[in-house]
Amino acid sequence: MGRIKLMGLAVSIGKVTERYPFAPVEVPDDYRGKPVIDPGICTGCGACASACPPQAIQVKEEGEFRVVHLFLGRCIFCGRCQDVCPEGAIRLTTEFELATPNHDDLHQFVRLRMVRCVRCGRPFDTYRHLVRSLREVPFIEGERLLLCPECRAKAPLDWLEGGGDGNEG
Amino acid sequence: METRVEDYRKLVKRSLWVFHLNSGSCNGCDIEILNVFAPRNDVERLGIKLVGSPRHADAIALTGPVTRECLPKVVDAIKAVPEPKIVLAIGACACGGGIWYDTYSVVGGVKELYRIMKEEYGMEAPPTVFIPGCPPKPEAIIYGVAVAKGMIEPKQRRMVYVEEGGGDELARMLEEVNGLRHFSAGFKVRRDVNGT
Repeated sequence: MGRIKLMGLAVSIGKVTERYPFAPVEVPDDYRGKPVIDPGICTGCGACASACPPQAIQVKEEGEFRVVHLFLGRCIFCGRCQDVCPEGAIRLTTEFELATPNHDDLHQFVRLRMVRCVRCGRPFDTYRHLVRSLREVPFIEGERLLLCPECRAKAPLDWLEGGGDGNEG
Repeated sequence: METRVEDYRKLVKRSLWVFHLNSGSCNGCDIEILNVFAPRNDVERLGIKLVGSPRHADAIALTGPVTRECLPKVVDAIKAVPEPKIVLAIGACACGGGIWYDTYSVVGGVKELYRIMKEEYGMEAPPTVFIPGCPPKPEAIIYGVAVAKGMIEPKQRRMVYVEEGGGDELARMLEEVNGLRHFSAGFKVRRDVNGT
């Protein structure tokens, strides 16, 4: 191709370079950007943590609190957390400008209060998750839902032995 | 003393020359770095240029989770960059280890790398801009460079939420339980003892 021809082609195509840092760039609506947990809805069930391939979301228990910890630095933006969240609390936004000189900026913490077991006093589940479970599950077992899994396992034994609050229907 | 990115901006006014250092990356981030230099987001218009040797560079574009095998080479390359220098940690692997963060053959991100550099080589951690993404969009890399140069203020912030509530959760809980008792109406657990 001759040089004149090439110049004509270049002129016909025009400028392709984007002005990006000085002008915003458009992203599609379903772009998988920064995941954000809505702290008002999250129940701390941990579905996202078990689905997260790089374990960027981790659910830990710290005393009275259950902590949902999202570390963006490890996130691969696969969107599985969004798929599995039963509350729709975690959502992938179209935000991609996440660069920061400060490593601490890449973390999101959601600290949720836990309910103590009626019998042994150990915090075992978040208040919100328990309320949610009560709405989903037909209520037949009385206060037994307020027992931690260990105590709940022991509860029928107590009833067999004749002592304790069997709560027979 | 640790140099911060803010101090780095004051020291360096010139164009940023970048040495691309692959420390065991899957090539995803490397392709995005090459995209940044392609005509669409041509960053050479901003004075950013890829150089062939760390001795010519101002910045290191580090990709990959820093495998054990290349750890001494990465340290050598960072050592070879003249002061003042800056590290652009590009991708999930460089920022926090990615999906290999706890793998045996991997150091796991620049944080761990800096810890090893300090403990075993006695080097201070260079100022670092973290660019998360797997891989980051070319625009996200340009944004990271702009943050390093002080052209844009970073918008990413640490978010901490603590659920409020007094000591009456259990009382509220029981109230809620009593409100839902209608669920059990007409449903009784029957015990059949001796066939009765």
